[in-house]
Amino acid sequence: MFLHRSRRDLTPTLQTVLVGAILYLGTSLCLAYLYVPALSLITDYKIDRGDKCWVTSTTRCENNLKASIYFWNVTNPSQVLAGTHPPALVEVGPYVMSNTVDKRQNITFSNDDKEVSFVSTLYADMNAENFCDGCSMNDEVHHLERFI
Amino acid sequence: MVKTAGSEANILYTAIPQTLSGLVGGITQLFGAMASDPTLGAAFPNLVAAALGGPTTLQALAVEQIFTASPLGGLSVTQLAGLGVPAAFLTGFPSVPEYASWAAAQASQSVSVVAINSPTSTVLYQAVVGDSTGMTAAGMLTMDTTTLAATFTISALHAQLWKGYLAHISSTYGANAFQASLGPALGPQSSGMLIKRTVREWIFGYEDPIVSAQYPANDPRRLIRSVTKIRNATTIDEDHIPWNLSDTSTWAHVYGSTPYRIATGVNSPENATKVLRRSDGAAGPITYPHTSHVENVVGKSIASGQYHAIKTHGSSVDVVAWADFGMGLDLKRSLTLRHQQGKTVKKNSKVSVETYAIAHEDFLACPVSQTACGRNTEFHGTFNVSGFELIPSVYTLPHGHRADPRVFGGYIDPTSSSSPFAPNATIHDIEIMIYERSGNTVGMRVPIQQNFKIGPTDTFYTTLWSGASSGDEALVPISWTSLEYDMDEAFYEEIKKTIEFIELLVALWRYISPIMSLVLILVCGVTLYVRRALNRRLIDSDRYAMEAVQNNSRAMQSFSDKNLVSALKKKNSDLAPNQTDAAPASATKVAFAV
Repeated sequence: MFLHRSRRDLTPTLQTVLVGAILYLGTSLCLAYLYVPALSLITDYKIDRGDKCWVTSTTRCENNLKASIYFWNVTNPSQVLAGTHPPALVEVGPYVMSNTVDKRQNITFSNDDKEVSFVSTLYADMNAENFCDGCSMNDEVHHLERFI
Repeated sequence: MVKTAGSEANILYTAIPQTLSGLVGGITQLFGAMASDPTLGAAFPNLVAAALGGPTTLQALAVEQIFTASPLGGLSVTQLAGLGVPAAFLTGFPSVPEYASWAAAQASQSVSVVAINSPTSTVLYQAVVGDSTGMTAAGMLTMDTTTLAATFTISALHAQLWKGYLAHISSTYGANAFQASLGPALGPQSSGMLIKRTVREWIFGYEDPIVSAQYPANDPRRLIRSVTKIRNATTIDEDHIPWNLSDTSTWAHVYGSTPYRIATGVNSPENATKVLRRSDGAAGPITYPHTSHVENVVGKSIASGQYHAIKTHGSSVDVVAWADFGMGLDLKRSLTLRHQQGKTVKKNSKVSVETYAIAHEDFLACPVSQTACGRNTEFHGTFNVSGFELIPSVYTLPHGHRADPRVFGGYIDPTSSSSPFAPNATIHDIEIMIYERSGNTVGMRVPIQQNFKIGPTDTFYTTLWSGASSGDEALVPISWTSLEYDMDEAFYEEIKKTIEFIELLVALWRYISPIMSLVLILVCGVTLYVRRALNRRLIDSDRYAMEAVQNNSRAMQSFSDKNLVSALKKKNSDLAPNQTDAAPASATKVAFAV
């Protein structure tokens, strides 16, 4: 009689577990095949006016840019000036600029936030450690000039 | 002045009216001095007669000397020293000032052959000096010989020699006057064609004696910055934008402050970072000089573009970027970025980025590509922005990489061992790094070389054509800058963590959870089934047992009837009257035994 009764008591529990397992399976499959595919690794990029680089009308943000500058030094300036030889050129560099900061001014979003206008100016430090061997900011370079 | 002319050579060309009239004035003074000298006056009575006619007559004789050299009997004023003319009279004539004498020497002809007689000479002279802006003289230099000959009714030989003469006086008398007013060309304060400056000055700017002098003190335009427009970080607190200048086209390429208008991507992710307006602040498309080619502003911001097409369709699609790198480095055109097979860069165990390069067709020249014709691209591998900037400039990849070597005019032969150029695709090609799964630009390496374009009429730079035939122009490389960035490791680690999290979710919901659920369902189902079956059997057994002792048990009907059972029960009672509760059971047993 005891065994008979305990069997009867377990049945509702098993039924509950069974229903729960079926529901869990359905939920998992929905998440696996509907939610996860819709889950982007990185959400669609957009320029958000709340972002620190856009939040005010003037911002300063690091942009990781490195600029390596090389000059074509004219090594025979006298001969070029005399008109007897074409310029003999030697590459000099690099002179490296790093720690670049993009200063954005007059940041203005359209009413619907779909457009933004701004004026960008880059600022950087000279990174003398990455200059060419023996190079410095005081190196003199000749080159042809036609003015700005 | 230089800013307007574009170069000192152009200044001298536009100063030809003053140079030529100055020469005539100098010769007029010389003739007057000679006429007043008894000895020389006796030798040149025509000068004395002209002097008696007044300054105008004397000047007319000087003009005639320029064009025919006949007043001095075919001699140049530079030859008068041999006739006893005092040296003091001739110090103003270090080189041949007359067209006739110069042309005769150049053409190896007699003066009478090359001379241009009146009234043609008067027309030519008045055409040059009558336009004080110098544009007529400059126009003569740029005009082809046939047209010039037809315009002034002279022979092609005379037209060619006249052009050469104008260039001659420009580079001699004009240049001397230029240098006298500005100092030596290589001096630290020079404004000449070759300038020596420190790297600091090239990068952060210097004050030029001509250009800077046009602007008041503290005006940012005083600083000449021809190499890069990146500013010194120590000056970041200063406002370098010339807000008062309504001509915003100068903001970027003179000041390095670029006015952008771009799409944010709000409600339209495919448009994110799209450049909406030319970055010189003007509206509408860009119209190329000379060809009137219309270049519509299309494409994403090249340094930070987000390419939804790559995100949705994969890395193999071509995408378009607007080639303005900021800081005045504006190619005034769009570029097609194409995926480079086999150049995927692994950043960590979960993240790799794809390499894109400029499509080969964007390097084509005219006439192979008609679009290149519109963009004034005369040579393969060049980006011609002449006409957009105050001085003619052409951008190439460093060391002329992927460019037609003829563009350097023959004075640089890239195939020679002595060439300063060593093109190297590893460091001299443009690469844009894009993360395929997001479509975001995550890095770039943009090496760009700035070259000045020198035309054949630029008399200062004639040695650039010392080598092979150069075509219409030669480039002089000035500098090149490699603009590079890559996101730091933390950025890629963050993506890696996100990927791992999503992979965990996928594993959990697609594999682990369903398997666990199925196991549970199976266990529960089987258990319930088995239990149900067992229950049914037990119920049946109990029912048999119960029904077996019931009067109406159908179980008894198979071998006895209820009367028999009753009789047996009664018999048992009789046999063991003292038995109590066990009796029925025994009876049952007996009955069963029977």
